Amino acid sequence: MNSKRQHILHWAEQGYISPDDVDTALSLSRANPDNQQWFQFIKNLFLWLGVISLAAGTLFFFAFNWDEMSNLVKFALMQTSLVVSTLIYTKLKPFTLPSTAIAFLMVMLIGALLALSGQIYQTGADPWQLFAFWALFMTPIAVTNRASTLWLLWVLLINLSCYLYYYDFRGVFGILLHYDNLVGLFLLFNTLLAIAFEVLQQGKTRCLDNRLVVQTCLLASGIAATWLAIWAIFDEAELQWGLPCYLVWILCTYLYYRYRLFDLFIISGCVTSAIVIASSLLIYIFNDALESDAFLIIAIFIIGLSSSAGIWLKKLSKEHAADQPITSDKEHQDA
Amino acid sequence: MRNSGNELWLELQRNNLTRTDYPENELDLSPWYIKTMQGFAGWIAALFLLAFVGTIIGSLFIYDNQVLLALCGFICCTAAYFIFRNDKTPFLEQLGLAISLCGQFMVAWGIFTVFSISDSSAFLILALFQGALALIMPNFLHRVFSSWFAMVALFWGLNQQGIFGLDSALAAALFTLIWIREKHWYKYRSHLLPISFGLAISLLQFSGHFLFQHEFSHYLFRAEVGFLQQYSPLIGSLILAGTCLYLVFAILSEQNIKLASPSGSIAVIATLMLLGLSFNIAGVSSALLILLVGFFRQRLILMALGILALISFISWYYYSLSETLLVKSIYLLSIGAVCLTIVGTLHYFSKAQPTLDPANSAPVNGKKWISLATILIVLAAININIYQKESLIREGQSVLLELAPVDPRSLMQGDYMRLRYRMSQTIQYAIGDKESVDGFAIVQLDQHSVAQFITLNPDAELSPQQHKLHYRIRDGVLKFATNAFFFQEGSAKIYEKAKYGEFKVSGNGEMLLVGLRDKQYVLLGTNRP
Repeated sequence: MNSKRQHILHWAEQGYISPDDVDTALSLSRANPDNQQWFQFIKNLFLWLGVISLAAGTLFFFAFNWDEMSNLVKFALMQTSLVVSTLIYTKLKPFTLPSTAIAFLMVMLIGALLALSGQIYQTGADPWQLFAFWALFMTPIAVTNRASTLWLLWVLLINLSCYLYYYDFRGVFGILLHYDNLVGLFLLFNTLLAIAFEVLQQGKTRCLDNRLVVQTCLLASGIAATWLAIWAIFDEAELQWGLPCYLVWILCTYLYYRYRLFDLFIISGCVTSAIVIASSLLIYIFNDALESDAFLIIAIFIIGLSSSAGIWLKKLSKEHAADQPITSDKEHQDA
Repeated sequence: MRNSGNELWLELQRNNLTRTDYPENELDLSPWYIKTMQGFAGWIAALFLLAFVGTIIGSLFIYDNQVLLALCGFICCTAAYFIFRNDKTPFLEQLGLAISLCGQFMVAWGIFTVFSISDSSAFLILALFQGALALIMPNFLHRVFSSWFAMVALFWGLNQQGIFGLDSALAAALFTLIWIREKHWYKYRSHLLPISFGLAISLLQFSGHFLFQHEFSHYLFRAEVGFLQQYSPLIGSLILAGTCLYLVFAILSEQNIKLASPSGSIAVIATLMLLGLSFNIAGVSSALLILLVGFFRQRLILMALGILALISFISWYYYSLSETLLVKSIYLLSIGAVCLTIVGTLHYFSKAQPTLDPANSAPVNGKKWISLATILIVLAAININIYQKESLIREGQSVLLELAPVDPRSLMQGDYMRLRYRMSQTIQYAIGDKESVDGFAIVQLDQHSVAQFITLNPDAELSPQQHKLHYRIRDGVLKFATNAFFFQEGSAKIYEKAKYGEFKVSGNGEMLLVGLRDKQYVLLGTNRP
């Protein structure tokens, strides 16, 4: 991916380049993908499309619960496809896209196999167990593949399993597990996951190729934290720990990703959350006099905050880009 | 980013392709999430502005004043237009966005009061209004929002006329056209780019839950069925297919590949095959269109939208009722097979970049051993589980538990039936307030193996007719083994007469639901065909 095409067409629109030269400029700067890149892209596209369709098709097939097919045949089919995909996997070069795609297929088939066994023998294992076992079994595969696709699935499964666990047992621990406590747990859990991934990523053993998983975990915990804080503002008697918890979370996250490890996506998230919380506080302050003037003030306040935040974030983005050594072309050749 | 722009400019300058010095008016390359933050904030601010207008001139929102309300909304939008045109400071741009959004709320409110909300012309007028805003308003975010809203309004309007599938196909066609002609229409870039992003967002939304609403048309749509009502899904699919082919031709011609050449004909044949397979599941084609265009024009954000559309389509597809899961799985499995065959063929013809392990014949490396071992453990665990359960089914004691009346709505869920047992209430009463999650209930069997509850004491001596059953309390409900009985999709009718659930029970109380019986103890169905 490069932005050369955008630049050239922008200059053409502004009249800095003559319309007749646009084609020459595009081909000269190699702004369009060449045949080799297209070939690679098509191959990867079909690879993932194929793997996703096969995985979804298998899941759909067993969800149909076909009476005509005996249970043992179903198990045999399922296990054979798992074995075949594993055999293909062992033949592929590690850490390439094909290897990751087949690993993804294997993981999906493991899940389908677990679900199938739960469907055939209705022992009534709790639903959270299915996802927990699935996550457990896929962990070694995710660890050895360094792929964010697999880790994203893993994070999703773990969160789902926790949610279902809470759902089953919420009556038992009584007061301990109120709904707000669940959001709190969700916040804590995803923050811990993000920290763990961040530590792993910066350690010597590379376990991930990009920052997608950390960003997803932080996005989830950020939404939870903001939710808790809004709750605390409007219902302070219930949730005294909500605001301090939010403040600590957002300050730590912001400071870390601003000064230690620059990540504009996370900073933007923090800013959005801060705007929401600041407006909520303002609404709370106006609570007794929430009339026309107050609405106008709040609206102007939000517009002011968000436009200045936009200016600031764009400035950060440019500064950071200027500080960065130009590696984009080199990365392209590696990829 | 600035560096890459600078460098590119110098390179073009060296080749005498530029007219001036490095332009001051720089391309705005700020990432999508900054724009998202601003758009989101604009929305909230607009809501407060609306509340402000509502409180100072509340009479506007009274039923009789709807025309005046729409007119005021229109004035707001006009004011926003002049703000956008005359000033480019971020604060005023954001203010303009909020004022215009507030105005659009008022216009929509007015239109929906003049017509009724069930009147399709209200939606169509709104779609026209939003479409005009998308063309006129000189602001990036505003154009994105307006083209998105226009498509959604058009969608609902056509939906209420009983016309399905046409709107998303039109959005896909327009989106693709804008990006194919990007170079030729460079003069209108600032108009067309944001509109195309709005179209892509609407396509993402449609692929998740809107695309195949025509299956509901039989229930919702009562009016007369005209030509468009009958053929719109087909026309939509054809438009999508044509758009896909047009895109492929455009890509081939830009890469200077002739149709008659081997690569050209392979590309067209592969596209036709995929189109044929996905003809009934048009959501796949529109997701792929976004993805392809994204790569074609080197836009990561479009590629990400395409992938999201694909995933949301598949999860939606699972729940759609147009076909049985068996048919859907056959579609998907054959698409998967075709795709992987294509990958294999491509791989065979290009020896350039080997993806196979060069040390192919050498032993599997360490990392792979871990995965291999994991799979072996999974297979072992599953097969031990199968063996244990099969033994229990063969050797376990049959126990019938009487079912409590089943909620008829649960039967409609299609592929499984929710079970509740009459005994559960008695046992829960016996447990009382004790916090218990797991435990055993002792039951006595009659001559039909129907169980009666005796006691909760796990240490009690068991007579030959007595057995212990393992129960669990989850979310306040007592369960024996499972409370769901799975059956083939579509065979719900048979199980409406179910009276008993049949279990196999081992000596240590482990239970397995094996079938359902009616009140004469006749087996209705099992999990073992």
